[in-house]
Parts: sequence; structure tokens; C-alpha cells
Amino acid sequence: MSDPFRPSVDLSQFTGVFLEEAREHHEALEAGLLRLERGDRDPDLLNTIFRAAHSIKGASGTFGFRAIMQFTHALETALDRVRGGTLAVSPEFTADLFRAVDVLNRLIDAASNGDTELTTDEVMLAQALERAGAGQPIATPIIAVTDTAPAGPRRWQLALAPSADLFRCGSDPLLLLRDLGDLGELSNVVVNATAVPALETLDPESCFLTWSVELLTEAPEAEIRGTFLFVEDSCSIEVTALDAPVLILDEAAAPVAQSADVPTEATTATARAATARADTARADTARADTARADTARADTARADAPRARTTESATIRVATEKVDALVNLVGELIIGQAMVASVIDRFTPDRMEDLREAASALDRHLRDLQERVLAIRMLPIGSLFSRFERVVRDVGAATGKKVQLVSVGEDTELDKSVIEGLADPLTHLLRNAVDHGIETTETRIARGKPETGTVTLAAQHEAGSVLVEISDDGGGLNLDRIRAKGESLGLLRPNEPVSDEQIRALIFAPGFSTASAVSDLSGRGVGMDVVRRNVESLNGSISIDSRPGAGTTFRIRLPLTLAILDGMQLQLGSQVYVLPLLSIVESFRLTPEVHRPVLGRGEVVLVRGATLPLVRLSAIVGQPAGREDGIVVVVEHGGRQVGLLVDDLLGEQQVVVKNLEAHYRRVEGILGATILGDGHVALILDTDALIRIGTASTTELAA
Amino acid sequence: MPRTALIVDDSTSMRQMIAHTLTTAGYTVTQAANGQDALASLSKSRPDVIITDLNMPVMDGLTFIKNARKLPAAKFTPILMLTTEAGADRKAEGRAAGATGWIVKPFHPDQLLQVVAKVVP
Repeated sequence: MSDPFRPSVDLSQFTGVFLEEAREHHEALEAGLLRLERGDRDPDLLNTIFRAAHSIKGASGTFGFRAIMQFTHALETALDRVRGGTLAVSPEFTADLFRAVDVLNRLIDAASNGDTELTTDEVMLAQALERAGAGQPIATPIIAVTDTAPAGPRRWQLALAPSADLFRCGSDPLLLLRDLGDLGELSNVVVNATAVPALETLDPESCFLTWSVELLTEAPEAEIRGTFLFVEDSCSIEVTALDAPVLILDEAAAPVAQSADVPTEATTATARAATARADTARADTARADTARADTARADTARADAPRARTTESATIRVATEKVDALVNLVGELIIGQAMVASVIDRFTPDRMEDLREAASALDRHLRDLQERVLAIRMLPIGSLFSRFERVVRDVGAATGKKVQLVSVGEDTELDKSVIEGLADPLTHLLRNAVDHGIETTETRIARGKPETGTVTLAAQHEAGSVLVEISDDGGGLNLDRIRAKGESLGLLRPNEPVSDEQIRALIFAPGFSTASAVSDLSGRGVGMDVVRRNVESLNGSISIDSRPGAGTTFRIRLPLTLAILDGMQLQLGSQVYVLPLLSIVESFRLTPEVHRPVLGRGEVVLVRGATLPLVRLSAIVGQPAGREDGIVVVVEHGGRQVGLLVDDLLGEQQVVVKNLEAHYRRVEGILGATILGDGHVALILDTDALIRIGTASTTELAA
Repeated sequence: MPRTALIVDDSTSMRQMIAHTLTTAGYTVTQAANGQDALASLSKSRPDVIITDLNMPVMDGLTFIKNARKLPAAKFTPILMLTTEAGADRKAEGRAAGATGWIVKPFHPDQLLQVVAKVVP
């Protein structure tokens, strides 16, 4: 059958969206399996798990990812049996499902480079899944070609008696006749209207007509019947060849075509005949469908393999309502702008109040717009939390500990890039919590604690930032061991009087690891120093709290977004600079009593008995030296502090971070730039770099 | 006037693919992520054809078709259901709900257009 319009749709353009979707379904599957493993048998849960596999399967085939489709088909089959109650969830079966989820993960990753192949192991797993809970061996679909090539045009007699509800299913008999006409030449088209009731009893929405037609075509019988594919079950359809020896019933059907009066008996006979043949027709069509589908799959795969894209741009899915709200707000802005313009056009001094009002309305809408635009990048942190259940389960299984993960505040929204940046440090902290934090089951029993350890992952908004806590109810940090290790590494002098907090902070030092035997699980070459660096690169901070025998809590404080920064405005000469607020510890006025020059090594400032390097902002930015009695701002990054000397503090201000590299070039010590309310550009200082510069030129001295 | 189509599928990739295919064939396309959204859309517009997935959260495809048939905007509109299998049970279910026909997933865009051409006047 040829088609009038055959656009060559490039399916590879949808690969990115498909893969993103597949990853979401993969996450849902994994989260669902974890609940399943814990004994949850909620029908909604089973449906959700099934739907995740089902959705991946449906789309993967269409977009040409055969391996994913084959594999998810097996997974879906097994899950459908679980859902139907014919397959019990044994630990072995659960293990297979988890392996399947991992395979799926590999396949989805591999799919960004085009279709891939299943490995032998994966094929075996798929087969095991398909067999699981099956009453009898799965029959492989038989692909059969039922049509033989026609010798030439043949004449066919067709009788069509649609069901009364044909129209109510959105079908139209005229379309069926049109499609038949596309196959060849129609003749003797006869409508039988005898069944139409009298007008007063007529239901205009029901179909009472039947048709008989003759068709001259080269198309084989299966194709003629294919025209009726959607109505074959609800209509009686009779297809008979007129120019070949066929069923005896043809004689009964023949008068239908010739007589306009249509004897009713003949019609009934035809209908009976059609019913008798319906089964055969169905079977044929079903086989033909299978064959067609397979060819299509192969075609799709061939067409897409070479074109599949390797690059995948980061996308974000936004609810339509959020976008609609933006469009509305932009409308408001345009109205607001028009109001301001109209006041200005006919401005007289007494209209000042109108102008102020119009400007303040505009201001309100702008703030609203700013908030909503930022909200587009906000995602609930739960999307991240869900993947950690697996981490905790796996580490627990590997260490033989019973551990449960409790998540709190999954709805807390955070910037997408912050969430992505959190994945690694949180994974590390969770591994640590299970591996080192939670005691062995025997120890826990001996200590009178519940056998199952609990690791809690909690998120909440707190004063314009987000607080993420990872806590365990394990043994707590061993301060003596940390201290000993710290001394051996030279981070601490023997018997140096330090607070518990300072000792705990030692674990963030580079190269620090307390586990005497580096564990395979938590080791992985990533130390807590990397965790802290990761957090700080998100403009966040991390702290620890721990009580012996009761557990350890890591607190990560993060900004809501990286695009906006809570800053402190600093003045130096006539210039204004911005410092990230989170990095500021304290500030005080510089007095001669606390100011000490160090011969040849710069200068230091005394803060409650401790000595900090003093960095002059003027020296870093190349401005003339400022006031000698300026303000020292103590900034901290990576556990190190320096005092930064500026002329004055101007106050806190949220600033929108503009990338300097995009407009100028990268400058050491400068994070970016922002435009202040008065239109001036202010540079945002990079705390990390300031401290590097500061500690390179001066030496840290103890008092 | 261009023909209009309503596409109902929770999968963004499938929805985009179908929308793209039909747009290429000259259709104006409206999209909905589930049956409920689709019903809401039918109170505002009268599409020439509706293509709906079956397995969807919030409101599944069969429920959507049943409800759509009660609306003036979709009483006689051709409705095609997207399904991964077209066994006798599935077809009977679809017909009982009021579906006009079905498209078996996976399918090629060209097959989609062929099936749509079959049911659209």
C-alpha cells in the first residue's frame, strides 16, 4: 500500500527526550523495587513498577532501541505476573529484578550512542525473567507470510453489515468504501436501507445501513480484509472472489449485488457466512500484524543507527502551568511598562505620585517574574534521594549490616545544578554512614540498640538556604583516634588544646582517613576533603556533629540557586565589591593592637588569640591602598581562614551572578560580576582564591 | 483549514514524535499528558482525530475514551489507541470504550500516518 504523504521523520531528534524519560522510569523502577523488597505489596506500587517498565518498552521500540525493548519486554512480562498475583516475590527473584534494573541502566547509558546489543548474560537474565512464574514455556511468535503474489486483477464481492454503534466509535462506513476504492475499481455499490426504522423511532446516531460492492483489484484478500481491520470484530464482513471457485455461499450472496430490493433472507445468510469466516480472518490478520511489526522494527533500527546522536544536551522539564504563569507575567510587565510610558508622556510634577505607583507595580511584577524564572530550575530533592535507597541497600548487604534509609523533606526544592552537584558528596557520606557509622549487628545488640541501623537523609529550607542532613544512629566519631591520626599527620601538635569541634573538622583534611583498613566500599579514593570541596564548589558549607554511642550528623548548607548569591557589599576606595555571605565568619575594625607585620612575610591579625593572615583587597585588585583603620572581614573556605582588609561594609544584597569569562576573561580571585541597583558593575570575589593568595604570602602562626 | 489532532500520552518523547509526524502531515496538534488533561482540552476544542495512549497515570486511556464519547466535541471523532499488544481482549476493551482503532507500539511514523488516514474523513 503506498501512502500519499511519506515524510521522512528523523526519529533521532527524539532520542534525548526518550533517554531522559527512560532514566526517570528507571529511577521509579528502582525505588519501587526497594519498596517491594521491604514487603510492600500495595497494588498502586505494583502498577507503578509495571508502568515504568511498560513505558520504556513502548517508546524504546518506536525510537529504534531494540535491545532496550527486548529487555524491558522480559522485565514487563515478569512484573505483569507479579501484578497479577501469579508470581511470588522471592529473594532470588528480587535479586534478579535488581540485576535487571542495573542492566537497564547500562542499556540506557549505552543508548546515547545508538542502539546496542544485549550481552549473553543479559539475554540469559531476560530469559529467566520471562520464564519466572510462567505456567508453560513461552511460545515464540510465529512469523508467517500468508499472502501469495496475485496473478493479476481479480473481481471480489464484498458485503458489509456494520454494527449499530459504528458511528459512536468514531468510524464511518464511507471511509471504509473510500479505502476499498483505493485498492482498485469499485462497481455495483448497493446500499441496503431496509433496516432503517420509521422516522419517529429512528436513532440518528445508530447505523442501520448495509452495503454490498464489487471490487476489481490486484490486492490479495488479506489486504482487502485489512481495510476492515478496525471494524472486523463488530461488523460482519464478507469477502468472496467472484472469478474463482469458492464457497457455495457465493450463490446466496450474488443476488444481493444485483437486486436493488435486496431480499432479506440473502442478507442474513451473508451475515451468517461472515461470522463463520471471521475466525479465519482474525487469525490471518493477527499473523500479518506480527510480521508487519517486525519488519517495521527492523526498518526503524536500520534507519536510526547511523544517525543516533552521541551528544545529549541538558534539558529541564517544566510543568506547563509554570510556563503559562511566566507568559501571564510578561503580559503584566508589558501593561506596567505601558502605564509608566503613558505617565511620562504627559508628565506634570503633580503626577509624580502616579509615576511612583506605576513604577512600584512594575517592580512587583519584576520580582515575581524573577522568582518564577528561578523556580523553573528548581527540582524537588526527592529525585536525588530516591537513588540513595539503592546505595544504602547495597552497602548494607555488602557489610552484612541491617540498615534502613529514612528520607525526610523530599519535596524541598533546589536548583537543578545544585542537586546534580550534591549526588557525589551525598553518596560518599551515605556509604560512610553505613560502612563506618552504623555498628555491626552484634555490637548494636550488645549496646542495647535496635538491630536495624537507621540512616536519615533530611532536607529543609532554612532562611533562604537549604539544609541537608545525613545522620546515622551508629557509634559516633572516635575523637581519640581522629586526634591521634591528626597528630601523626602533623595537623595538630601533641597535646595542643583544641575543641571537639576542631578535632571533628580534621576529618576534612586532605589525606585523612580513620579506618585503619581502608574499606573497599567507602574508600574508593575519595576522601572527606573531596566531599567538602564538592559542597563548597556549590557555594555551600559542611559541618559535623557527633555524640559517642549515639551517632553522627553531617550538615550541608546550600544556596537555593547558583545564579543568585547572597552577598555582602564591600567598599574599597570608590569601588564596590561583593563577597559571598556564606563565606563570611565575622568582621571587626582593624586596630594597631591586633595588627602585626611579619618580617618579609606580609602581615597578620589577631583574633581571640589566634593568628590569621591579613590580605589587603587593594593589593589583590591592584587599587591604591585603602584606609589603615578599615574593616577586617574574616572569610573561610576549605577550613582555612584569612582576614580581608577593606574600607567599609555596605550591607547585604542578593546579586545575580554574571559570568565574567563570557564578557571579558577569567581573572584570578574574581568569581564573576554583577550589576548593582545604581547601574554600576561590581566584581564578586572568589573566597577560595583569596585564601590561596593570602596563605601563600603569609605564614600561619600560632599565638 | 488545517486538520487538528489531540495527542494524549504521558511519555513526552512519544508525544513529541507523534506531534512532529502529524505536524509534518499538515495537522495542528494539541498535546495532553493524561486523560484528565485531554478531557479539559476537549471542552475548548474539537479535534479531527484523537490519538491516546492507554497506560497513563491520573486517568488511563480507556477511561478517557469513555468520557470523551460523552462530550459533544468528541462524540463521533475518530479515536485511535496506542497499545503494545492488539489481542482480542484489548480490542474488545477498546471497542467497548468507544475506540475507533488502534496503533500497535512500536510503530514507524509512516505507519501512524497510514492508520490516521484510514479513520480521518
